[in-house]
Amino acid sequence: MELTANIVRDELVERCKSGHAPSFQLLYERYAKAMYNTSWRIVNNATDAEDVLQDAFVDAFRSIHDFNYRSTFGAWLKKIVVNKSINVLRKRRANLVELTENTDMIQEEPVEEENLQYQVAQVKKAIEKLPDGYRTVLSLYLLEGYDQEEIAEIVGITHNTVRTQYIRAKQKLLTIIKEGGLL
Amino acid sequence: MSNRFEDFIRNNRNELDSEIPAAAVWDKVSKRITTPTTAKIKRMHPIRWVAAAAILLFIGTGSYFLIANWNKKTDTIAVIYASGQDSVALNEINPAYAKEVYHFTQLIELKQAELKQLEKDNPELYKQFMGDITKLDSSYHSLKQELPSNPNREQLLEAMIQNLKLQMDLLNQQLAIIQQINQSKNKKNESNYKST
Repeated sequence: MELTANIVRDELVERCKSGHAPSFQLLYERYAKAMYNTSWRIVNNATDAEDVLQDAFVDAFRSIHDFNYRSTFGAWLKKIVVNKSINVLRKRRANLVELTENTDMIQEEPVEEENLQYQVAQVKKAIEKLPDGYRTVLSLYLLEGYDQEEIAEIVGITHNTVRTQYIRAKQKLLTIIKEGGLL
Repeated sequence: MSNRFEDFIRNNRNELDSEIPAAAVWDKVSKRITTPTTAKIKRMHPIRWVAAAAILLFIGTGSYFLIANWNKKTDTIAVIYASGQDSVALNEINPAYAKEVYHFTQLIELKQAELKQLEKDNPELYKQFMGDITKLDSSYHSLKQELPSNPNREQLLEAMIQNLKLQMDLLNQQLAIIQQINQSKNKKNESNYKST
């Protein structure tokens, strides 16, 4: 009960609910870029990310009356975007869990993190090079701020799988960065 | 494991959102939210029986109260007969309408007979269903009573036909509900039978 009370009523959302047409565009502009990037990191290309963005906003606007501040509007919208993005991967029959020889042990040698210098552009490029499953788990956890249990639910895998996928994804990413000559 | 990488990501979170969506996306969104779709209609599917019945009931009771000079009370269901007399009178106004009235009253009679079979199994539901029908039916009769004195008889006749259509829709909904109930009953019986 207290939790719901903590979320501040969003004036712009309220105006949309009352059918004020220009507010829809303002709301779109407030979130479009962030949502687009969220989707981009999962679907990994502009065309699919734009389709997801379009569908997600249409769905959100059509059901804006169902939004009742159980979370912020941004979080509500992001959940729609993430679900739609994962559906795109599913349609592509992408592996949401990257299969590796051994599911319990991480065999790759840990990358020496201390020696790495990170640069935004290179990290971004490296994320794009990750396989679908790794990229999804890594971006949901690290960039979108979902906890591992939430990710397990969203992707439909076990909590433990999320954990191991994340560790592997990170290692793989660091390897890519290292091999990319970014030392 | 060191958290240097995680820290880096968190510190540069905004810079990582560097892709910019095409302007055309908003145009498509705005076009789609301003044109009505079938999505909404589809969404009310699960409750369509209830909704439809409620609307019909609303129209039925509404017209019931609108007709001020109606004072005849009927306790039993007045089954509408398009008697010989009625047909002649209606024929004078508009033969096509008269035919329609006749057609609908026949159908309604049939459906009411069908519904009557429910009385034994589920008297409560039957009573409720009949209550709904009675309201519509009584407004039909008050329309009919008005017919001789009303200057715009064609329009009134249209209203009567509309009322009969509503009655038929309502009966159809009710029969469908009964069918659903029976189906679920049968399923239960079947599974009971299987488990014993």
